[in-house]
Amino acid sequence: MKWIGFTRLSAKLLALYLVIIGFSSVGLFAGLETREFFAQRRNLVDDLQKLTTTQGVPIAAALWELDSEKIDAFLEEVGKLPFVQGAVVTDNAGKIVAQNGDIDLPPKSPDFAAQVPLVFWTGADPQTLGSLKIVAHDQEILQSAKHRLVNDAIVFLVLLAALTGATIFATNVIVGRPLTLLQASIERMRRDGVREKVDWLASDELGQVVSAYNEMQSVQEKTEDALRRARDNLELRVKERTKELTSARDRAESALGELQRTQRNLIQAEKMASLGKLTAGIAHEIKNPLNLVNNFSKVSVELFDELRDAVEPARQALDDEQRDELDDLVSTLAANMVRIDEQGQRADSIVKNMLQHSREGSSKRRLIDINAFLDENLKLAYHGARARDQKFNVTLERDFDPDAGSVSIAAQDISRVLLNLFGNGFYATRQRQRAESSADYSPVVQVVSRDCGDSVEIRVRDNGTGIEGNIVSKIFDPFFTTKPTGEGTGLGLSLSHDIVVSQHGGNIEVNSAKGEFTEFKVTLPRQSAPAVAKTAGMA
Amino acid sequence: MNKRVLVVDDEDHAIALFRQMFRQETRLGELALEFAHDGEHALQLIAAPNPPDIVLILSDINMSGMNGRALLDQCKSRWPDLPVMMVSTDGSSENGWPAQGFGADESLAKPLDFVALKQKLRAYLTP
Repeated sequence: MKWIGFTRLSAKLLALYLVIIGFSSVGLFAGLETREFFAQRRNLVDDLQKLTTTQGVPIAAALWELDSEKIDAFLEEVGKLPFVQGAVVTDNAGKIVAQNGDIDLPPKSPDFAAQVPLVFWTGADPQTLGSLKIVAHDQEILQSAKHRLVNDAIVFLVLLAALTGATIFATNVIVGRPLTLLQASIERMRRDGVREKVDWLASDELGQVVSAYNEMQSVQEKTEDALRRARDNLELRVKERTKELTSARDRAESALGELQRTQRNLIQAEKMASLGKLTAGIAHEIKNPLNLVNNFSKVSVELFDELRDAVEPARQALDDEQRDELDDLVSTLAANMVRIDEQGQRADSIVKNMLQHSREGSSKRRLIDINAFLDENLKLAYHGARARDQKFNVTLERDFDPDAGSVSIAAQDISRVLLNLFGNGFYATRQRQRAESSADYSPVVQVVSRDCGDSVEIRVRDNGTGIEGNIVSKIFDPFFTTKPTGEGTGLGLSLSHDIVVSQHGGNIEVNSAKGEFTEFKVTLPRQSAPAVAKTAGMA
Repeated sequence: MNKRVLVVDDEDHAIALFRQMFRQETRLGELALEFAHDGEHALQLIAAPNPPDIVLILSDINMSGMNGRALLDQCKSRWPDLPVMMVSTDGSSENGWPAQGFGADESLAKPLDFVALKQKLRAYLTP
């Protein structure tokens, strides 16, 4: 058992009852001593009386004899007594006969002086010869009282020390230790959050407090554990739920993205379909009158030649002026005929082009190595562009994924798509070159192929004039073009879209920044099948 | 005697066009053109042998009144030896049937390729 030391508890206890005991002890001792003192004093007085009375007889006898020596001897004997201050014999006249000690000093108290008349009995008659006075002092009493008080004080101090020691010991053993243990346990709990039971068994109230404390600890601990478990459980569930929700959200987001993409494709396809239907309808309606125009204009050209021959004789008969006029009219009309014929042919080819929109297209699919195909078409487009415009020059960048592999496609149609895209790229860069005419601008057309597992991605990027943000959504619309009249029909991209999306089940997207770049991204499934059934049949 | 070819078409343009296209042949007497606006009229012309002596029928498929198909059936049932050529607006015919599959001797597409047509006619008309 560890010694705790001087506890504050001990101090308080000591302070309390030491004071009480102190006072009571002091009071007790004082009382006792006072009683003793007075008792002794009374004894002294009694003794004095007795002495005086006793000594009076022999001294009276000695006085009768007038034996001064004897009287002195008696007085000397009396003087030897410890409590006698002095003794004096006086005669009847009051004259001092003999004295011993100090009689001049007034006694401390009146009863410290005893006086008896010296009476000698001669026969039967008492003869008063004088008086004997003995004065006592209480020096001795006082001394002994002092002595006793000193003893008392010593006893008191010893008692005090013993009491203090006992108190300290007792409080340690009975009270201090368990309290300190409790304190330590509580402190431990507060600082480290660790619950410790107090190891103290006692049957007293403190012991009860300790055991109650211990019980409380264990109950709290159980509660804490339960709470902790509940919290952990909750945390776990929250985590799980969060994970579930996160993955559900991700699924929802990806589903949403897919849905949006599908929606866009669907809208585009519908647009295409309805526009296709419209163009098909228009084309169809126009075909007939156009046929007739072409037929008749062709015939007219032939007839005109015959007319020339037929009027030749008549022509000869005319004068110069008339002849010139005739020639003029004839040649003008002939030229008109030719012009009509040419334009009719042109209109016819446009209509044919338009009608190709709504055709199923040559569905002859072949497995084509995509990188080689891209390169071939790129070269074709490039040389074609160079042939049309001598000043045309562009840097071709190829970034072909070696794993791009092969795709099953209608080669002729995809070729048309690629030529269209390359052509657009060339046109855009040429336009920018013309606009900027700075040496810093270097026209670049980049062709990229990427393997995407069950599909292939083709990107055609040019650093040309770019597409205005508000018209990007229209570029796949039939007849939509930003080129000046006569330079394009606006059918290239819509046809390309049709071929890629409807015919091959792929995807075509555009990304552009005005004045900077345009990039077309074409995705072709390796095993292509038409994604959207043709609804624009031949009306 | 002129070999008469009956052209059945409800459009007026057809008459003018054929006349102009075949002006040489007509002038040279290789053949003569007869025109009917609809199937009924055509049948009347064929049935009345006095004159016209129709040796070949060239008919548009889509016509108001009796359409080309009906005319074809009629012709083939009444005059099985009379060749009938049908003209459709394009390769796949309007009513969804290739004329040849239904008994026509030839199936032609609009716009008519007159050079090819003339060759075919020559084949049919030279005995």
